[in-house]
Amino acid sequence: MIYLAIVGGILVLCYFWYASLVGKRNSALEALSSIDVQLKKRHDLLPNILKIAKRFMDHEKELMAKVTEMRAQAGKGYDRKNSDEVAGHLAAESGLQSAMMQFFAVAENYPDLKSNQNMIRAQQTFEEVEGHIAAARRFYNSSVTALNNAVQIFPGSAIARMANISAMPYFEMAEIEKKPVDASDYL
Amino acid sequence: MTHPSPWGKKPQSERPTMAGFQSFYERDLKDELSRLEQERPAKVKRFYLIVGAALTTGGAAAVILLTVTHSDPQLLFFIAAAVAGIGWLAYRPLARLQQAAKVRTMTSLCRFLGLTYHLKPVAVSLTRLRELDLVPSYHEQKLEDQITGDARGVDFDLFEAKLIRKSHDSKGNTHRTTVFRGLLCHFDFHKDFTGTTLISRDHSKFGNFFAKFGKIGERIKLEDPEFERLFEVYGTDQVESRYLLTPLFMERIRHLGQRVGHDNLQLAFDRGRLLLAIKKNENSFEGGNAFSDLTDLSRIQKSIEDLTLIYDVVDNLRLELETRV
Repeated sequence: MIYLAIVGGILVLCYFWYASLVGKRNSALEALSSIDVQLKKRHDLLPNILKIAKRFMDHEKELMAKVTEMRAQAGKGYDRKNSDEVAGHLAAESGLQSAMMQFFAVAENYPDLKSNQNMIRAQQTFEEVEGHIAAARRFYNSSVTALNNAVQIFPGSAIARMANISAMPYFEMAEIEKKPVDASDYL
Repeated sequence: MTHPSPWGKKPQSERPTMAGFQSFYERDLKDELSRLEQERPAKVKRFYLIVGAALTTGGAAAVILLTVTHSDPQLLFFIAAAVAGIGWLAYRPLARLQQAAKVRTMTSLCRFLGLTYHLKPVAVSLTRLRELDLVPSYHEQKLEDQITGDARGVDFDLFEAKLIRKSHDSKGNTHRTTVFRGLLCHFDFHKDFTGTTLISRDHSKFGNFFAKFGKIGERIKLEDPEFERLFEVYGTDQVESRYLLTPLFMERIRHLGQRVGHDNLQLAFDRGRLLLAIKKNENSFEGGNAFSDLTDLSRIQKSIEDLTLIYDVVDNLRLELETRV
């Protein structure tokens, strides 16, 4: 009887552990969805920005083609439950962000473009969207930390393996954002 | 005779908004305060005379009641109440004078800064502040000193509140406890948002467990460990709360907390505005009491120091910035 009670207790404990893991995974997936909602805004905004810039940045066709290509790559569908595909999707978005930063840095060399009212408004909206993306990324990374800690520490790791729940990748900042500004680049 | 600078020892550059107030004071305020000050000595003298007479009469009556007529000692309570009542009545003219000086000073100071002052707040409601749990539950409210306008281009509305909770003991006696005294204000915020984010003070693990019930939205766990140690954040949207509370903004809130005391500060982002509840131990914007010289510049300096809090909020939180990230 005692053994039965112990086994029953362990099973109940395992169930709650499992439920907690599923809750954490769902929370991370929800956070991933909220990132996608914000990234969609970025994707929707990009064609407008490129359309405005095209009139002024005729010599930067290569750069604009790169941004367009990165957008197409980042916009591809992916399996949200496959961590490799999620990692690929987030890396593509980081690449797009990096290309956008490069684009705006080059746009600084075109005073007519910089002073264009449509471009000013588009850039303000872009900044706002980037603010939302940054917030969504923080929420996602916070959820992923909770999930990964639960999935990688025993006995959660064993239960996660049985339940086929795996760790998820972090959404890292684009490299260009992390690098400190080197003044010599601009001198 | 020249007065010392009311701005104290701080360099003028730290108080750019007050540059030129000295001449404004001489022109706009000094004569009026001097006129009120002329009335003060007579009223103070009258107050002391009445209180002195009341104390003497009360004392004599107490002695007679206790030693000559051997009356019930409980009668002493009525004598004390009568003396206190007379003292209160005698103080009223002085209080009115002090209030007149305060209203004149605050109106003048606010006008100089391009702000508006009302002794009795107009069009204010604590309902939303209560719903957000920025102020505790209360039965009576005393509101005064409303200041509105824009500070460094940021629209705001601020007033002072004293909230009282009544309770009854087993004997049916009513007890009145002040549950909040301080400043309540709202500032326009430069980011667009639709949800609500509440930043309440930390109550330690045990306290936070119970404090979360009744709070709006869900708990938002942020990355800044120092901020997390000082505050608890609740919000209706995890992403929007983080959009508002960027790492830099959390640092700014910590700086403001250092200025007013972390335990005294609670904030909320709600309906496009930033709401603040700042607890204070003393009455703000009073300058001083009726027993000191109404023209004393240290009184104005005190009022200016109280007013600088508005600018400190804007400066600490950088509310004037147009950045959207």
